[in-house]
Amino acid sequence: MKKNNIYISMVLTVLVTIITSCQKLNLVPVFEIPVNQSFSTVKDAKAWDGGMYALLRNRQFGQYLLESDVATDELNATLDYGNNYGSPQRWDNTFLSTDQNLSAMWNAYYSNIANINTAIAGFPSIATPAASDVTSMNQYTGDAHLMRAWYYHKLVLRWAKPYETATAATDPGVPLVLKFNLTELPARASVQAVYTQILSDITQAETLLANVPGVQGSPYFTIDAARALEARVKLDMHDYAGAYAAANTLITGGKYPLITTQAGMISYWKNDGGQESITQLFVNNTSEAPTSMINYIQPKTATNYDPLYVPTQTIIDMFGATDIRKAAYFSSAYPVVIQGTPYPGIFIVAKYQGNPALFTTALTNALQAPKIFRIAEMYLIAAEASASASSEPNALTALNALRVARGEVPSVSTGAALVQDIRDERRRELAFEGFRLDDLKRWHLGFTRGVPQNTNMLLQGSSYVGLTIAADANFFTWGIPFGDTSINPNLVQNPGWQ
Amino acid sequence: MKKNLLTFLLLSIITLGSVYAQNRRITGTVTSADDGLPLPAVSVKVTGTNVGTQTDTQGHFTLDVPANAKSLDFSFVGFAAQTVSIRSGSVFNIKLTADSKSLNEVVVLGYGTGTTLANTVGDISRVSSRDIQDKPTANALDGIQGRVAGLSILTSTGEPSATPSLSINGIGSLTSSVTPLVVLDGVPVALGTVLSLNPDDFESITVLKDAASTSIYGSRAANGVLYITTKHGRLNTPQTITLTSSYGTERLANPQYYNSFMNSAQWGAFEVATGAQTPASLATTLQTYHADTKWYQVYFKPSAALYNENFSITGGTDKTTYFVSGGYFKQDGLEYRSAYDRYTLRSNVTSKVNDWLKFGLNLSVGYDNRQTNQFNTNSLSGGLSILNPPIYSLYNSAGVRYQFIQGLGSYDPYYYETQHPDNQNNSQFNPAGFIELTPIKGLTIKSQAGMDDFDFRESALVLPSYLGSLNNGSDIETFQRGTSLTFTNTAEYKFALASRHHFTALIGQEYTDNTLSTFSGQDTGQSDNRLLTLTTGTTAKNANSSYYATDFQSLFSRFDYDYNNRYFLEASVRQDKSSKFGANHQTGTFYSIGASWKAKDENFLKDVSWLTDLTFRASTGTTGNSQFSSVLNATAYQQIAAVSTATYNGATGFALNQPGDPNLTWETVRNTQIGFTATFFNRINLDVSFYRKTTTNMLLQVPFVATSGFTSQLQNVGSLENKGMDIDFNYTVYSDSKHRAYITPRLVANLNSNKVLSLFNGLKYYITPNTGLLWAVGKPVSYIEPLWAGVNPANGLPQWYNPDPNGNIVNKTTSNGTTTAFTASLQQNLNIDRYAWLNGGFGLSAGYEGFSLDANFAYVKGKYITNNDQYFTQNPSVFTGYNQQTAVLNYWKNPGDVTTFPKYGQQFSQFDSRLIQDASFIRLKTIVLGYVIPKSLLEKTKFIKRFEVDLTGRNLLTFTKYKGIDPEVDSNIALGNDPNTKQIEVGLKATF
Repeated sequence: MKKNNIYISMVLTVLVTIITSCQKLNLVPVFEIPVNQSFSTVKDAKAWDGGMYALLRNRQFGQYLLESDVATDELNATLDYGNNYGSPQRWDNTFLSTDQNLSAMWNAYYSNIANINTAIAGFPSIATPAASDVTSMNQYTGDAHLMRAWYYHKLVLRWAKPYETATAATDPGVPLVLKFNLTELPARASVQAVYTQILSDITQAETLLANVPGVQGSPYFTIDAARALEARVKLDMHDYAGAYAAANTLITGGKYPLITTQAGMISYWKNDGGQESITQLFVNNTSEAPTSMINYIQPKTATNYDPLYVPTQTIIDMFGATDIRKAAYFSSAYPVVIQGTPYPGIFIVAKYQGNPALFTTALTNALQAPKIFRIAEMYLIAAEASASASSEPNALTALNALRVARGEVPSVSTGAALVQDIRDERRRELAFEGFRLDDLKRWHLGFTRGVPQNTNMLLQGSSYVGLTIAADANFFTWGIPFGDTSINPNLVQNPGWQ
Repeated sequence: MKKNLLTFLLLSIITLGSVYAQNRRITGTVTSADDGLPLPAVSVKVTGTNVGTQTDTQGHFTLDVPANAKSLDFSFVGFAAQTVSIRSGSVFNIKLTADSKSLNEVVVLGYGTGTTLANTVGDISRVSSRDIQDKPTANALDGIQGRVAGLSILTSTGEPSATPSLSINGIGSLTSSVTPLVVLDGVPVALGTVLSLNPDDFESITVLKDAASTSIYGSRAANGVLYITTKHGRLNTPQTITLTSSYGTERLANPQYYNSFMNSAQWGAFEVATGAQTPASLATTLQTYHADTKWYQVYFKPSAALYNENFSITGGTDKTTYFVSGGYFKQDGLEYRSAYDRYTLRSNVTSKVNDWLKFGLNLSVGYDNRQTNQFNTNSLSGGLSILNPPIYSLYNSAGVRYQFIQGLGSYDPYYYETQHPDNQNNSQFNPAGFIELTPIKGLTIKSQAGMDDFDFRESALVLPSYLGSLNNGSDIETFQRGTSLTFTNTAEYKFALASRHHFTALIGQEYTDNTLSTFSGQDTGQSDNRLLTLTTGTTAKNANSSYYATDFQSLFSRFDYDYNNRYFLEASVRQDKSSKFGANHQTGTFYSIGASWKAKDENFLKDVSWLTDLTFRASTGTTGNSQFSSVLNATAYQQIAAVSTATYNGATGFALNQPGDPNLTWETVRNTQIGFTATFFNRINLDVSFYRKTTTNMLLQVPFVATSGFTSQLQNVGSLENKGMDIDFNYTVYSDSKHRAYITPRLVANLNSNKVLSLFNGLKYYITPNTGLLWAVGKPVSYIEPLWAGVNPANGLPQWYNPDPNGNIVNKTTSNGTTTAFTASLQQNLNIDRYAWLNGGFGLSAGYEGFSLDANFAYVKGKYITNNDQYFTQNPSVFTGYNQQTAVLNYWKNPGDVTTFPKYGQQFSQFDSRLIQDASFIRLKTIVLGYVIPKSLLEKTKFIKRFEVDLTGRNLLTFTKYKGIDPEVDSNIALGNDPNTKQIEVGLKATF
C-alpha cells in the first residue's frame, strides 16, 4: 500500500475533525434575553414597563370578569352554556380549589407581581445620566408600584375576608411577596398587612407619578390613576374621608367629564372612546389583542348568536326608560338562538359587544380596550364614602351628578334610602365590570338571582335561575388554589373550600 | 470477473496448506425456499474452515472440498443459515428460508465496520423488510407494533399522518421524552422524519435495548435506539426491478361506542322524565325537529380509500452497488379535512473505488401533504359531536344537506372543513455520505456527514365564502425549517493475535447541530375565493419568526475482544457536551461493559443434539436522556433565566419567561441486563432478557408555588426504577420443504414494573395537577381519584369512600365510611398503575406452496385510561339537553333501586374511580394473505420473475373491555379522540 494513501487519510481526518469541532457550545437565543442582562439602560427599563402593561392588558377580561360576575344576581346560564363557569354560577360543591379559572388568575397575578418585583429590584442599577432619564425612571418605577398595589388589591378582595377594622390584623390575607424568590414558601399575611402594603405602594406611586398629569384615555398610569386606586382601596378599608378626598380630587379636576348622551355612551363602550377613562390600555387586533369577552355574545353566523350567559330581567329593568346607559349595556339587536330555538327580543350584555375597529372577521370577536379606572366609579366612591361618613349633602351631590348625567331622576333620599340609592346606582353603573361580588361582600349582603328574561332558554333549578345566597357565604371568598396549598404547608385554606 | 478471480486467488492462498488433500468437487444451486428463485452471492463454506466460495448470478456454485469435510455452511443476508451434510454425493441443491434473524449478517449499529448479529454482545432485536413494507399505513413504525419484545408502539389517532408513540422497556422518565433515539443509516433523525420515509425502502429496523448496544450513543440513548437500515444493492448482482401497487379502504375500527347513545325517542323520554323539558315544550320542539340522526355518521365518512405505488431497481457491479426507488402513497382519513399523500425518492449508491477507498451516498427525498381535522378534543364539532341531540337532521325537509344545521346551530362538518382548508406540506431531505479509507490492513478510517432536514409549509385559510364570516376571509401562512447536521469521524483497528484472540478498537468524534427556524404571517379581509393570499388580505396583518439551536460535541471509544469467537467482551465510553445543559453541568460521560458466551460451542454442549444454540449475555452501563421534550423549541435554552418579549403600545416589552436552571443536565439511566438466546431442535427459538433500569437526576417539571411567579421549572431531581423481562419466542411447528410448507407461531412479551424511588423537595408523594396521577416514593405511577362506593339504594345519593382521616392518601382504604359530598379532597390512591405491566404481540406465519399467511396481533395488558369522554356522555344533569349514552337510563328513582347512577339532580359522573377504566386490548394489527404465482406460469413471459398477490388487513379485530372511544390511545386522559381505523388492502407485487 502506498504511503500517500496514509497521508491523504490523515489529512482528511484531521481536516474534518477541525471543521466540526470548533463550533460553539454556548448558544444564545435570539428571542429572549438573560434576566441579568436586561437592566442595562433606560431603554431596558422602558421595555420592562411595557411588558408590565402588556401583561395587565390580559388581566381584565375573560375569566377575570366572568368568574366573579356569573356568581352574582345579574346573569343566567343559557342551555348552551356548556358548564363554562358552571361552579361559580351554581355556588355548589363542584366549586373546588382545583378550579382552573381560580388557579389561572392566582398564578397570573403572582406571576405579574414577580415581574414587578424583578423590575423594582433591577431599576436602581440603571444609570440615569440625563435629567430626562430620571423622569423616565420615575414613571416606570411609579407604574411598577401602582400596578403591584392593583394586583394585591385584586388578590385580597377575592381571596380574603373583607377589610373590617376590628379583625383585619388577624384575618388571613394573601401571601405578600415583594422580592423575587423561587423557593420561598410564604404564609398568608394578615388582611391589615396586605392593605398596608397596598397603601405604601400607592403612596410611592403618587410621589413618583406626581409630575405625570392625567389625560383622558391614558394608556399609561398617571397621578390620577394612583388617586383612583387610592379612593377604591380606602373605601374598602372604611377610610371614608380618605376615599372621598381622593375621589373628589378627580371629580373636581374636571378632566374626565361624564357622558350625557346615549350616542356618546354607546360610542364610549363600543368604540372604546376615552372620555371617562382615567386609564384605558392600548390594544390592537393582532399582537396587542386583549382577552376576548366572547361568552356574552358567542356569534355563530350573522343571524345566530349563542350567548352562554344573559342578563336577568331584573338588572335590565333597573335602568329607566331615559337612562342613556341602557342601550350601551344591553342589546336585543343580536338574534339569540339557544339549542336551535330562536328567542327574539332577548337582551344580551352589550358592554363588550366588540370594537368594530378590532374585528378580524365579519363577525364580532368581542375585543375591547380594558378600562382600568373610570371617572364614574369616583362619583360612586365619593357618594358611598360620604353617606357612610354621614355627610349626606356630599353624597347626594356626587350621586346626583352621575344620575343626572345618565338620564335618571336626581335622588332626594336620606338615611338608609340614600344608601340604597347609592348601592343601586353602583349596581347599574358598574354592571358586568367585576365589582358586584366584591360590593355585596363589602356590604355583607346576600342575594337572590334576578328574575330571568325567559326561562325556556335557561338552565332551571335552584342552582341556576332561583339561586339564593346568604350574606357572607363562604364562596364570596375564593379558595386558595390547590396547586399552591398542596406544596406550601404554610398556606391556610379559606373556610368551606376543599 | 476480476473480483471473482481475486476471491479465488485469496481463497487459494488461504487454503494452500491443504491443497494436497483436495479430492472432491461439490456443485449445486441455491434457491429461495419462498419462491424458488436462484440466490446469487450466497456464501458457501466448508464447516469449520475458511474454504469457501459464492454462488453466481444463477445461484450455481462449485467448490473443491478437503476429503475430511463433513458439511457445508450456506449463508446469505436475510436468510437463515443452513448446514448441509456432504458425506456422500457431489450435487447439492439448497433452499434457503428467509429469516428475520439471520445471524451471520454484518450489522453496523453504533459506529465502526460492524459485526455479525451472532457475535453481538448487546441485546438487539431486528425486524426485517418483509414485516415493514406494503402495510396499509403511512408510518413504517405502525407496522412493527407487537413485533419486538420490549418495544411499545401505540397509535393514538386515526389521522393518516399520525406518528405513533414509542418506548422501550418501560417509561424511563416521568416528564421528559421517552422516545428512543432514531438512527437512519448512521445519522440520528427525528421520530417525525419516519413518516416522510417510504417503508418499502427499509431493509430492517433494529431495536437496541441494553447498555452494551446503546451507551455508545451517550446522552441521547437513555430510551434505547431504533436503528433503521435502508436497502442496498449487492455486488455482482444483476438488476432486480420491483413494482408494487395496492389499493385499500378503511372504516372505523370500533364503532360500538358511537352506537351506545340514545335515539330520539329515548332522548325525548329522558328529557321529560328528568324534568329538563316539559311534555309540552318537547312536543313543540318535536314539531320542528323529529329526525333520528346518528351524529357520528355525519362527522365520520363511512369509508375512505388508500393507494400505494412503489418502484425500485437494485443491483451491483463488481465495485458499485445501487438501490433506487420511488413511491407514492395516499390515504384519506374518515374525518373531513383528514388526508395524507406522499411522494418519495431514494438513491443508495456505494462504490469501492480501489483497495483503500470506498464511498457511499444515500439520498432520500420525501414530499408530502397533510391535512388534519382540528376538532379531536373537547369540541361539539368533533370529539364530542356525539353529544348533539339526535332530533336534529343534517338535511332540510326537501332532503337538501344544510350548510348550517338548523336547530343544532352547528355547521355541517363537510361544509365547515371545505371552508377552512388547512394544507400542510412537508419536504423532507435526508442525505448521508461517507468516505471510508483503509490505509493499512485492519485499519478503517471513516468520515460521514448526514442531514435530517425538513421544510414545512402550512396555509390555513378561512374562505371568504364561509357563512360565519362572509366576504371576510383570513389566511395564516407558516414556514418552518428544521435541520439536524451530524458529522462523524471514526477510526477502527481490527487485529488478531495467535488467530484466537480478536481485537477491535474504535475511537470517534461527532458533532451535531440542530436548528429550527420559523416564520409566519397572517391577515384577514380576503373577499374573493379566487384570491387567497396574504396580499389580498386587508386588515389584522401580523408576522412572527423564531429561531432555536442546540448542538452536541462528542468523543467516544469502544473496545471489543473475543476469544475464539466464543467469549466476547465489549466496553465503550462516550463523552457528550451540549449547549442544552447548564453552565455548571455541560459535560457528561457514559460507559458500558458487556460480555457474551457462546455456550453451545463448549465441548460439553457440542454434542447435545437437541440444543442447536445457546448464548448467554450480560451488560451494564449508563446512558443519558437530554431530550427534555420532543419539540426542539422546548429543549433549547431551558437553562437560562430569561425575559421574553411582549409588545405594548407599539414598543417592545420585557416579561419574565422562565426561571432557568444553571445546573440543568441530562438524566442518567443505568441499565443492567442479563439474558440468553437458545435454539432447540433447530426449530424452537427462545430469547429472554432480564433488565433493571434506574433513572437518576430525573428531569422533572418541578412545581413551584405560584406565589414565586412561576409554577414549574425543569430540574434534575428524583429517581425512578424500571425492571422487567423481555421474551421472544417462535416455534416452527411444522415444515415441509417439498411443499414449501411451514407453520411458525410466535410470541413476544415485555413484563415491566416501575417504581418511583425519590421525588423533589423531600416529598414522599406528589399529585400532578389535572392529570389524576400520583407519584409516590416506593410505588408505581398510579391513578389517584375519589373512590366510588356506589349509589345508596335508600336515598339515591352518590357515595364515595372517605380517605384516610390522617391524610395518608397514598394507601387505598375503604374502612372509613362513605360520604355523599363530592370533593377533590376525597382522592386517594386507587392502586391502579398508569403504565401497563405487560405488552407485546403474538402471531403466526404459515405457508403452503405459493400461499402464505402472516397474522400479527399486538396486545397490552394492565393499561388504564381516564375516560374523560364519559364525564360528558354520562352526565345529564350537567350537560342537560345533550345526547347521552343509554347507560344513564339506569338511574335511581325509588327507594330500594339498585342503580348505576344516582337520582336525577345529582351529578351522574364525577372525576372519580369510575372514569379510570381498563383499556387493555388485543388487536389484530396486521394480517397478510399472499399468493405467489407459480414459476412455471411466469417462465412463459420470459420477463416477469415473480408475481405476488397480497390481501392485507390492519386493525381488523379488537378485543377490549374498554367502553370509551379507542383503547389504544396512549394517554392518561382520553377525550374526543379520532379513533383508529381498520383497513383492507389488495396488493400486487411484480419482480422483473
